[in-house]
This record gives sequence, structure tokens and C-alpha cells, in this order.
Amino acid sequence: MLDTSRPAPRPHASERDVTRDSWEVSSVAWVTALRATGSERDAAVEELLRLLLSATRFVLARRRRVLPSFPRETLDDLAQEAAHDALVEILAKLDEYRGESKFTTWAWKFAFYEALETIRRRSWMGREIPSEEADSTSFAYALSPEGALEQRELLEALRRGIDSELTAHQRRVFVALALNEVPIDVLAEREGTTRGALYKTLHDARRRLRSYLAAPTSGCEDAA
Amino acid sequence: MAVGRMFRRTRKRETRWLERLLGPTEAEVGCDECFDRLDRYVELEATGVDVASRFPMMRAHLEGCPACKEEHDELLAFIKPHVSGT
Repeated sequence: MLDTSRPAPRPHASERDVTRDSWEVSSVAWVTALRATGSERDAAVEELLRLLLSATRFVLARRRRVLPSFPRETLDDLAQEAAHDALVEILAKLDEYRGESKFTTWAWKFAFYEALETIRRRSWMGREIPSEEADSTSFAYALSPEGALEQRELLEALRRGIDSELTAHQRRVFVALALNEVPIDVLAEREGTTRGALYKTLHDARRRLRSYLAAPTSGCEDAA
Repeated sequence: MAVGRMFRRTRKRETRWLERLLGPTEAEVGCDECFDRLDRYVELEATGVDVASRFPMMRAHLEGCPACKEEHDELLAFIKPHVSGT
């Protein structure tokens, strides 16, 4: 079991107890136990999984409204699956833990990543990625009457910029991620790429559009 | 009115839709680097450190990337009670 000045998490303790106790376990003790062999490692892995599960259940419970058609049991299956995926990632990347945060915080970020990715993918399951711009009225959150006209012009200029300034790939990514709010990991999965690569494309597209809109000749005259 | 002038003026107003579409103007980290630094960032934030000033490129990315922001928000909500000891 983990070497800690506090008692180890109790068997059958509540999730709140488990996370509170694990938070107090030193990061060095965690890493040492996970690098050990035999029963010491097995116990640490089991404890870590319980810790990860408390995080994935936390996030799935908070997102229940996003997945209304899923019964409670299915949500718990998803929480278990996400916790196991996080555990595999953590054990594979244990050498990358640099001690800049508590080990538990470092481990939990993997749990949240996996759980939220699961939710986003489930909520987009069976849905097409939109290739057209969303209805422009969805952007007009709180337009004052006097601001509505110039913002419609800005929206038109933005549309011209999307057509004229972006490459086909940038346009597809910007339309999906920015205009239609497709989750980035969903698009990454469908396109066979990574979040990082897609965000770089989005970043470049946004920069081009900002430059276009800020230019004195961004096309207002054409729209008049 | 020229769109450029309108664009600059609109960005100072209450309407946020264009800023949200066009993302942060400041330099920012990518998703991979954000994930790499997230645990330390959130832990410092939970203890009251002004992380936005200390790590402006992280703050900018969290402003521009809804997925990373969601992971940040959940991690922060989860660890905050532990940090504050409640």
C-alpha cells in the first residue's frame, strides 16, 4: 500500500473519502508504488483506478443532460471505460510526470480528458458534420437595434472572408469548429487527424480572417 | 463605414460573437501544450494565483479552444474543494 503519513483510503469508502484521502497521499509515494512490482503495484493501480473513476463519474453526472437517452447504468459504463482508458494512458506516461503538480491532479486531467471526449463523441454519434455556415441569426445574441445593421455588414464581410481568404481545408475546419461548434475531438476522429493539428488550422484561419476584416478594403463597399 | 473600422469598434463593445468566432488575438499555446501544462495551471489557479497574468499563452488558448476550456473547468471544479480543504 502507499507509503503515506495519512491512512490509506479505506475499502468501501465513499468517493468523497477516496478523493480526499488520495489527495493527501504524497506524489512521490504514488509514483514509487506504481513503479513497484507485485502486490504493492497492484494495490496502487487499483487505488488509482478508484480515484480516476471518482473523476469520470463526477463529470458524467454533471453532463447527464447532454446524454438524456442514456440510462444511469450506461453512464456508469462510460465512466468505467473512460477511467480505464485514463489509467492506461497514465501508466504509459508515468515517466512524463515531472512533479510540477500533485500526482493526483496530474492523473485527474487524463480522467477528465477521456470522460469529456467520450461525452462529446457520444453526443455527436450518428450526426453529420455540418459543411455549411450556421444560421446567421444564431450569432445575433444581443444586438441592439442601432448595432444590428453594422453587425450584419460585419457578418457579410466575414462570409466573404471565409470564401476568399481561406483554403478549402481551413474553410471546412472553420465552418465546423467555429461556426457550427462541432467538438474538436469529434472532427479530429472523423478526419483521421489530431486535435492539435486541427487547432493549428483553426488558428491560421482565424488569423487570416482577422487580417481581412481589419483591412481598410475588406469589402464593405461591395456589400453596400 | 469601412468594415475594418467597424470591426475594431465592434470588438470593444458588448457583443462577443465575432470575438468568439475569431478567437484570441494574443499568442497562444496549442492543445498538446495546454494539456501538458493544465495540471499545474489549474492547481495554481485553485490556490488563488493570478494564472491569467502569469501564463498569458495558456489563458489565450483556453479562451479560443472550447474543448480545452471544458477540461480546465471540470478539473478546477473537482480539485478546488481539496485545495481549499473543505
